[in-house]
Amino acid sequence: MSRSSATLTAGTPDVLNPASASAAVAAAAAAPPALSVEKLCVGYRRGLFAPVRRVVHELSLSVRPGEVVGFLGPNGAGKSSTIKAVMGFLTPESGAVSVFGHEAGTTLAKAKIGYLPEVALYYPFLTPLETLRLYGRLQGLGGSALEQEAMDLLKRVGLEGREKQQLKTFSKGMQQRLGIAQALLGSPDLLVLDEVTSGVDPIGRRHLRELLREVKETGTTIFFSSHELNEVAQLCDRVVLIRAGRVVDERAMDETLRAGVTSALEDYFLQTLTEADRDAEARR
Amino acid sequence: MEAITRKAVIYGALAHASLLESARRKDLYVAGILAVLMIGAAATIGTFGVKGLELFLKDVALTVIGVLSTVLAVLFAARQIPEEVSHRTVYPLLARPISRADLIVGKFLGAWLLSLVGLLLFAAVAAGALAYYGLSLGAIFGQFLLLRAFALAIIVALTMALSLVMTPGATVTMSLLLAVGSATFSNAVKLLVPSSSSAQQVLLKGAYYVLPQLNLFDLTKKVSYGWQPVSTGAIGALAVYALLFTALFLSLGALRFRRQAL
Repeated sequence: MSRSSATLTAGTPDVLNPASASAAVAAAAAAPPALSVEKLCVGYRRGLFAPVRRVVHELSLSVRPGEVVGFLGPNGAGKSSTIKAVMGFLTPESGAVSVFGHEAGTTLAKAKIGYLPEVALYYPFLTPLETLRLYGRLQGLGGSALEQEAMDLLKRVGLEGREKQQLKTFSKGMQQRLGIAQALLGSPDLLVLDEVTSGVDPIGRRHLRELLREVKETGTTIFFSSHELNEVAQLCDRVVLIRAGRVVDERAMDETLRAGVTSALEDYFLQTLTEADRDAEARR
Repeated sequence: MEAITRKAVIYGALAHASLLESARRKDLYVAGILAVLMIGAAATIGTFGVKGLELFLKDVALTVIGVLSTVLAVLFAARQIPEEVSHRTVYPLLARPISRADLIVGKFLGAWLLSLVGLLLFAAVAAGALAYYGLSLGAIFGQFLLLRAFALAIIVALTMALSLVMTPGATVTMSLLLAVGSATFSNAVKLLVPSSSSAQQVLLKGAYYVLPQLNLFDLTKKVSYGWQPVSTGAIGALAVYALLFTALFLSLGALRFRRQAL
């Protein structure tokens, strides 16, 4: 599932030809967003007759093709539930989610996505190569192209030389790196990463950050949640901050970071959440 | 044609992964141990002398094949989907462009193929043990295994469907009750219907036709008494019957799993 040519050309208009450039800009503007979430409500019911406990309240956001968006919020804010709705792992109470114009959860939408779950677990008795072969075949890849891509990805995530080692011997960090490799399989148009560096040591984290930067440079849209503000500061074009299932702020990174100081993002994160708490208190 | 090939690739990949996992996890060691116990039991009977007990030995061997293959099939099938969910391996699978129904069919194939490997292992041990005493099972034994394979497809599909609405323990218990108690239930219905009221008859007959009649797939007595092979038409009809019930249970499972929050 290679990236569509439309997405690639939209980002590289022929600047010497004003007509072609404006056509490309118009086409990009008319193209559906990479990810669109509109008034999403997600709730869980613990038991047949128990009331629904709503964790996401009319959440709306949009991610443009090629954009890297960080999805921030404290624990229990509804980040993973939103991502699960994007992936079609749960049925929302109401609202609409689409991926490049396709309804979330459909095979057409999923064909565009590379996904890394919050806690990535894989079959412990398979090897990394067998794991990538399995996901590759499910993705519609096969033959020598799949073998080549799997080997290349294992090399990129630093698992070269461990292709034939069973995953039960892998550390959490190594499993997470394999998770990144499976998410990148088939060069998806949109990467959805839930807690991308969870369980990864500082060196591995740095390596992953560089890898994601490379992916970003190819024009891939990335939507990721993280508690590591440093990652967000270094990778994102924009951040969306949620609390108690609602978007409390959304802004471009330049404005937020002020010359790329990570602590500024931390200040922003804490300050915005405190203000949101104060507003909620005042409403009560 | 392209869509069919795509589905075949998906099911093949999922079934292959299930088989590989189970083989490396040494799941079939259980089957091996049970098979060795069968040989041991046969050898014990042998030391007491088996003259005139051919019929009994054949009956025991075939019943053991039937029961053990059923138990293995239920145990394999009961954990296919629940383990994927509890171990969270379901997320990267369903993030691929496949449907939840595809996952169920792929997992079904893996569990069924694994059950068939167990069935063949038991069959080889039983045939070997009987051959040791100079007993053969005849051509109908092949049909016995074929019909067991059909019955195992129904049992695996039924267990997988139940595993989506029950806890693993309840799934195993209920599936074994339905699979092993199927013949007893059918006989009980036949006995009860004539003496029942018309309302009770409707209920009993309804249950009779809704539940799969696994005793139809049991050729134990025919093999033991050395009957001629069953007609191809009957085998074909049973194949269709098995296919329909397997499809029904898989569809019910897929329907339940379709909107289940993960």
